[in-house]
Amino acid sequence: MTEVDLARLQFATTATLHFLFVALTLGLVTVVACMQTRGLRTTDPELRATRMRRVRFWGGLYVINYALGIISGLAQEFQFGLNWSGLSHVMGNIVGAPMAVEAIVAFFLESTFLGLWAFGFNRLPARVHAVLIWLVALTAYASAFWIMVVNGFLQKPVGYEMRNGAAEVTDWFAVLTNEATWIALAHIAGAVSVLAGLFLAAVSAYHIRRGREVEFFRPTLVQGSLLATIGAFVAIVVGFASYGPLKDYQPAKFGILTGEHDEVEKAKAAAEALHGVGDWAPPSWITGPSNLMMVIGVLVLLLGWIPATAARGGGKPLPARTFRLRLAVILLPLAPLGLICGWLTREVGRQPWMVTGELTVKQAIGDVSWGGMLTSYIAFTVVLTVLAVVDVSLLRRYALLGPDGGLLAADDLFPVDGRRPDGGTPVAVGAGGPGGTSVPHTY
Amino acid sequence: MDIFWYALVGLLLVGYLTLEGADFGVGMLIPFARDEADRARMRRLVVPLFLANEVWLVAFVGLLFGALPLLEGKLLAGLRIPVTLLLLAWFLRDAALWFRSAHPGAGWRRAWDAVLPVASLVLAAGWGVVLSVLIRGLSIGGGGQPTATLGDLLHPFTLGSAAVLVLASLRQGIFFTALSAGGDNPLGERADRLAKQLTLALAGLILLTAVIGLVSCDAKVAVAINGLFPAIAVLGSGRDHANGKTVRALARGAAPLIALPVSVGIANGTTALATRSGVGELSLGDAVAASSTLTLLAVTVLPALVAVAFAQAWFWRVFAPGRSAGRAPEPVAG
Repeated sequence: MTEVDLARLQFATTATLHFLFVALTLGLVTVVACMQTRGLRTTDPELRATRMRRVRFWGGLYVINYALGIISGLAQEFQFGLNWSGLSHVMGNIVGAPMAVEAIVAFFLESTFLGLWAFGFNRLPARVHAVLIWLVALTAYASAFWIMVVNGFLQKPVGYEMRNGAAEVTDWFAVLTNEATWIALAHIAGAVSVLAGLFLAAVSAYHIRRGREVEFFRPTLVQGSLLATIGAFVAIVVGFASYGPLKDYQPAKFGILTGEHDEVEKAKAAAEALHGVGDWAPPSWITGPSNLMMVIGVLVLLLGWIPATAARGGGKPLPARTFRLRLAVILLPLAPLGLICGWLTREVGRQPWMVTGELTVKQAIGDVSWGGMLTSYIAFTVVLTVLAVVDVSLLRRYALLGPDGGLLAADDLFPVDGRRPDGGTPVAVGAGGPGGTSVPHTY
Repeated sequence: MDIFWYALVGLLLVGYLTLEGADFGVGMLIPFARDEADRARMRRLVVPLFLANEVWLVAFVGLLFGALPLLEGKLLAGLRIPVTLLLLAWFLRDAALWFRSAHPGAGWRRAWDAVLPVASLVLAAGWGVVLSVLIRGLSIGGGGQPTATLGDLLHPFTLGSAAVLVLASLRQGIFFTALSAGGDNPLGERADRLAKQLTLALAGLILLTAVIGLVSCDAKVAVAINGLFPAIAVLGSGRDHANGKTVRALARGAAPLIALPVSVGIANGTTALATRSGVGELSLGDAVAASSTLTLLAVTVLPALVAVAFAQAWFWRVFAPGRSAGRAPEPVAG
């Protein structure tokens, strides 16, 4: 295994983690924002309390998930400089700027808004608080856009010129309207809806099947199932629509994915004519994840909506409709699996290029020794994997504990002066600090 | 214009160190809390704030990549070892703050209570190492690239600067805890005594490090500035603290954390990345991005930074220490 392989493996490991956590973040944030808006719109105090309780539960899960999204995102951001300084050397003028905007819009602005939202439940006026979650959603999607501008450029470089061995942008409009960016963004919007939808449905079904908080979880079972199905539909339609453009800008990837071998040979010959003798096609095993992703998409489209039907009609009570409730739980692992397959198809399909036709992965690697690369790979992987396992088990724990165990209902992580927002006793052990004045119930 | 972007990037780093210094300090002070309730209170002081504070560093690296892409590549690659350690400490510090209260187990809490001070210490010391190495200038590695060798990382000036940042952060942590706790300080009566001892120790250490720097560094002016102003400010903040002016003590006590990154700028001038031998240096003119890139940054990043400034000011208005929950909300109809 060479330094390049190690650096790629390191990037792939952190990217997989980051992508999964961020996908759930992106999917859940809009759901929570809609819930909070609905909670605000009703004037019935009881209905509002129920809806805000939903916001606290799903919002708490969203925040736990966000923790690892940000930590793995830091690992991603620094890796460009640590391992891939060749990229900044040749392409810094193009990929640097969107990355800077992403860092400042996403991390800086989004995290500040998120902090205000997560810790501001009883400190901010209700309307302002609801606006904040929409600002978090807006900045989250803005950040997804800017990072996909970079990714789109890696797939299909446009709007630039090579001057003295470094690329310079000649047309930012072309870079920002790159079809490789926008198609992927639409595809991802569908995919994150699948993940968030299946997550909502699975957690809701788990509780309903045990007869706990049935009315609390009934709407999210329906919403989640429908969201996942619509998401799958969007992802499939956009996915198929992406093949046409792909044939133009990555013909070898197109040929391998569609099984058109003469396309692959033609692309190889064209690349050899341009770049000299070499293997300029991605590995053929990408058909595996690509096919699996498609199967998953179709499965979710065909089965995803079925759990929603359990909430309708007379007959057996909802908790007794075990088949449909179990189905919601069984479908959940398909979403992360599909997401991993998706990025493998796209990014391994870009090989051997870092920037298609301009910069190979080998050229982009920094001047790092084999031992140095191995050490940092092991260190990053161990720490991030441990934290990811901790985070997923916490996510699972709070999801299964139900709305009364939610983090946003506790006071330790989200201090409300030693009291739960409903004025109840503290949930967390040893958190009963002084100054425990009763908190006015804002919602 | 090159200087503008260079200064803006530097400003973000200064903001990060100023704000996070107190967080590192509170993190390191956790073992000094009297009991579980006090540990929980101390953690709560930083929990709403650290996320908004640490993102200054994310913005710093992001803008470094955008405006000075060549510097970002060479800087992080050359400082690979300390930057990797800083990152790992950063992840663990964050995890300790995020996860500690998410599980009721006693062993779980003890584990994170051990991780938090160690990670905070590594963060404070690591920034001292990284920045002082840049003041002294990097060595040249095997591949002809600027590199921080083990000798650079363990140089007396480097170690002295690391100790300065640790003590300065610790002191900020004590002030911050005192400010937030009101009458009942979770550190007990030891806090004032500790602050007094730290003031003298820190001022002495700053001057000692400056003397080492004057002997061993070429950038005499930067080293002198990095020694003189913080030492005076630290002594002044000690007086402020004794007089009960804790906010002023915090502001002046941040001087060592601010002076170090500023001195990197003074030492290097328009040499964005300096080496002691002068070989393989990177000038600011070469490091800065092309003008078309800077134009995009100007129209996107600058308005975003204005929005961030407002959001951060809002954040501090809501969560500044001493503001109890439930004061702000307006009654909602219904």
